[in-house]
Amino acid sequence: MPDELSVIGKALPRPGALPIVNGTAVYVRDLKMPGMLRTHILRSPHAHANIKSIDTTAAEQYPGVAAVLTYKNLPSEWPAGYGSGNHIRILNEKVRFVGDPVAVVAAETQAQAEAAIALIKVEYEELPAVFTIEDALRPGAPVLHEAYPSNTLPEAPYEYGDVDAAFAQPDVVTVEATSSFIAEIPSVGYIEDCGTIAWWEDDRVIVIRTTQNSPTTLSKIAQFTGLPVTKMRVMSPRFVGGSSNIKENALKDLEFAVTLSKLAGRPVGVFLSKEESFLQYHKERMSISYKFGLKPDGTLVAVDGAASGEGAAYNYTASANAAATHLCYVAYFPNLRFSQLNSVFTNNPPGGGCRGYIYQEAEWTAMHALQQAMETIDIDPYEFYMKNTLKLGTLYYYNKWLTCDCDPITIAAAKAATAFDWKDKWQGWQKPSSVAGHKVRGVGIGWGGNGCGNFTSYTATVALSNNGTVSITPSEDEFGNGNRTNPWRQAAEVLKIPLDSVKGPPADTDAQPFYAWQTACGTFSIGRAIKRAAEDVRRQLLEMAAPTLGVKAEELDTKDRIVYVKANPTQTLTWSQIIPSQTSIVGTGTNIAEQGRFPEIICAFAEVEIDTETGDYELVNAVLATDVGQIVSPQDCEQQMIWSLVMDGTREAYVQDKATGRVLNPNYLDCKSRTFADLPNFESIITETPVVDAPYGAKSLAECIGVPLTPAITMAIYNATGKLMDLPIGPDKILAALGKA
Amino acid sequence: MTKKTKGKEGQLSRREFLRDAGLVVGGATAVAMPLLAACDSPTTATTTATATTTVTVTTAPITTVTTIPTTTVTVTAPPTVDPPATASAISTIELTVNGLKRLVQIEPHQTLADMLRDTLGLTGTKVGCDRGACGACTVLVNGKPVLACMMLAIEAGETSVTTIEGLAVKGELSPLQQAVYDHTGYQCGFCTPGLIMEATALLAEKPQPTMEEMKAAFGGHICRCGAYYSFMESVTLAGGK
Repeated sequence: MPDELSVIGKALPRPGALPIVNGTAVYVRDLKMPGMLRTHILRSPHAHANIKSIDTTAAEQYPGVAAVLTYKNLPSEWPAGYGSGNHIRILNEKVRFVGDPVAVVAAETQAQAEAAIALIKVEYEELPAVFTIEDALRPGAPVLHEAYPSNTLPEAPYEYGDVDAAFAQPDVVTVEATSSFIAEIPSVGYIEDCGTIAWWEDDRVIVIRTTQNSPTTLSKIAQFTGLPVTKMRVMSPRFVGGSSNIKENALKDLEFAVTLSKLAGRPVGVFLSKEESFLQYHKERMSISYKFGLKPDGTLVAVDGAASGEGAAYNYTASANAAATHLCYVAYFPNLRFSQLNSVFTNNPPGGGCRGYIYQEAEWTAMHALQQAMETIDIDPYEFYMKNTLKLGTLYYYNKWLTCDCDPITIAAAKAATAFDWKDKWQGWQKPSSVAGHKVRGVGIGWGGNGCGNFTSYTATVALSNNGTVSITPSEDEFGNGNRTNPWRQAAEVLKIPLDSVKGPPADTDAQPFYAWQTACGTFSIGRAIKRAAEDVRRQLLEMAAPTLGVKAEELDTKDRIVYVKANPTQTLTWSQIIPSQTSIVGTGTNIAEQGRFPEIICAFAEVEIDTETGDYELVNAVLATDVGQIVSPQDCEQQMIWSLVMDGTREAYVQDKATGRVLNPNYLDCKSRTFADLPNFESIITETPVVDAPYGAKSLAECIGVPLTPAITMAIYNATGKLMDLPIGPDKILAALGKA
Repeated sequence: MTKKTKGKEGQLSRREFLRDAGLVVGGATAVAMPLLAACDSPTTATTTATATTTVTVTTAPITTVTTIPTTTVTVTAPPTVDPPATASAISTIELTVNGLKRLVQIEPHQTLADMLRDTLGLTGTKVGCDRGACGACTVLVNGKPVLACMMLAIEAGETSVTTIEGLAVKGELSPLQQAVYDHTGYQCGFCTPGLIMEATALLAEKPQPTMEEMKAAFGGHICRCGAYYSFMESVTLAGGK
């Protein structure tokens, strides 16, 4: 660790962010390409149907229409490149959810595209539909994909330790629990809706997209076009309204823009509406059964489980695997077996990532079930989680045996318990923490995380130029959390230059070496590669300066673009004197992924107040806590914690017509998002226990944020009402629990 | 066809426009309508560009408007950048935008947000939901915060509109903008312009607002990154400056 840090951990404005406050920030929807066509999508009114016939003649003849895309006129040379197994095309003769695209019109104006859509005649053959995991798995259930006749995608079993031997121990208490905690699907509801602008230059497609992940967009295009990645270029604008979230998804704005621009020979912009974005973007349901084995003192011994994850219509991201792999972040079981894991097709709108892919859902479900085990042995949940969480030195299993080389949570959790006043507020299971007339309060805890710490391999370069420029590649897409510029802080720190003197291009796959993808990996995976590149270029710089200054390179240091002799700081050379005119020196750094290492664990303490007359509940106090090793950007770090309040599954969920599968509330008015007016007393506790082998001792923080609060609130409501509820939790459920409905 | 609009109290808001056109805004079914209309058979969705051609007088627009079929797609999802579909649809309004007098040709169904973004190129005003539910498009009309997606452009005649682009004076950020930048009172930044406009109006009225006053004033704004507290802290820092 350097003895003094000048950039890392300092509250500095984000470089290049001025346009956000002066209104000049350009997002995808603010861009217009010359001659760009607008689009509108015809969507299926049926949850499951075959398209018997489709007539686009009138639409094609409508004024201003340049192209109408259906499954019939997809470029014939393009392969099937969509769905879980790349087994279908981007449009098909079959529709599998209400809102599934059927046809897309590209026209001179939005109004013309919308008018032309209305002229398309479609005849459907309706098919029976399934909307739950259970129904999809019943014998004789309607089959969504012929390639998967059982409606399932089986996954490899996951097992470690000796589960049977562990259960056979004499003093093991066995608790069986099955949970489908996520009864209705919470939304993501990012503020900027997805959009893509695409055009072709000869045989090469150029794309600008609302993405946090340009390289992944590249591979998606390659999948459904069959083109090599050299035939495409993906850029993101400097600004993406990602709501600190992933916009890799099943929405097909990318697919339609690429295809229609090819058909029409002109740039095409596909900009989805809020309703469209809401419809196809959510977390996914899971159904998990567990047999827990634990000692009477709360020590976990073994778990034997089976899990299904809802892949919905196309199983874009679902996987049941996380039910097994990620349990270790909730509470560690030394012996674990999930002999059955599968994801299941249903006629619900397809899901996408929401700070990770389905592991949060798995952990929510696990906490919901574990609560039952805790109550069985009557243990304080704080004591339970502290006992079973990963600690420094814990031997644990995440695809392989690892030793936990940091303390992810215990110091922070202890502080949080004090800040929340847990010991005084906890009265025992099913016991309110306080009662005042018709206002009853309860408390609860949630606990979980992930192993995203070093998820991605990555190569970065840092170039120093004669004119003093410091430039970094690759450049990340910026979607809210400072992901693009926070890793730059590590280069600025190594080179001892002001943060705002570092620059990098907007993400552009043509302008950068290939990098795989990044998700919640900015601080660690990318930061470490950039730090190593900066160290490499610094070494070169000092070696170049050494002969002129007549000392060894080790005797030199650099600050503010000046190299000086440490023993005699008046003996100096400027970077411009060292680096030959018109040239640059380039350092490279590579990080190799170590998935599962450097766990991020976060806990939440929640206190709710229930009005027993109205059934309303309010989150009145919340404390979140985690350890990040070293804070890189204080404001961004703090703000990430607040996102837990946004992704509150107890409040937000789709209302779905159970008969037709239609989502009835795909908007902010009816799917209640927490806003300023609903904020609780909130405290975030971020401790810094430096992590050995991490860049500046810093771990990632981001993906795990959404994990703990929802189950904490559910536990709090349970203790206030005596009823364990699934999501979402509204006055109807609470009044029913109180025997008033 | 230069149009003069009436005073504020006599104007037709976009919400009223929609309601009088036969749509009940606010219910799940109604707000889901664009999508559902797109899902339904061709007979239920109507052509759009020509259906709203004859709003020429602001004193009696309702009569004209009520003739629009209730399932008109345009009503709830207005075109974004289109040139006026027919010459007869064009009206001209005169207003002040960020201190400059402007004569703007508009379509009757165009919202203020669309006019600002598409006609005047002021894309700093963001449209988050186009339903008056998220606050992202907030601008100041005669100094008062207004949801630009819920106000028809034609209502903005003879008003003074201030957008996020109009807050800095000769390139110098307003104290609030500066505080939001310095304090990182944002994350992805998409909701930030609307919040800054709302907070600008609040600070004009209450130079040092309390937390509760801020929560109430910003209650109509959704920030899906959760930059709630940092934004309020920024406002506090800017207070009194």
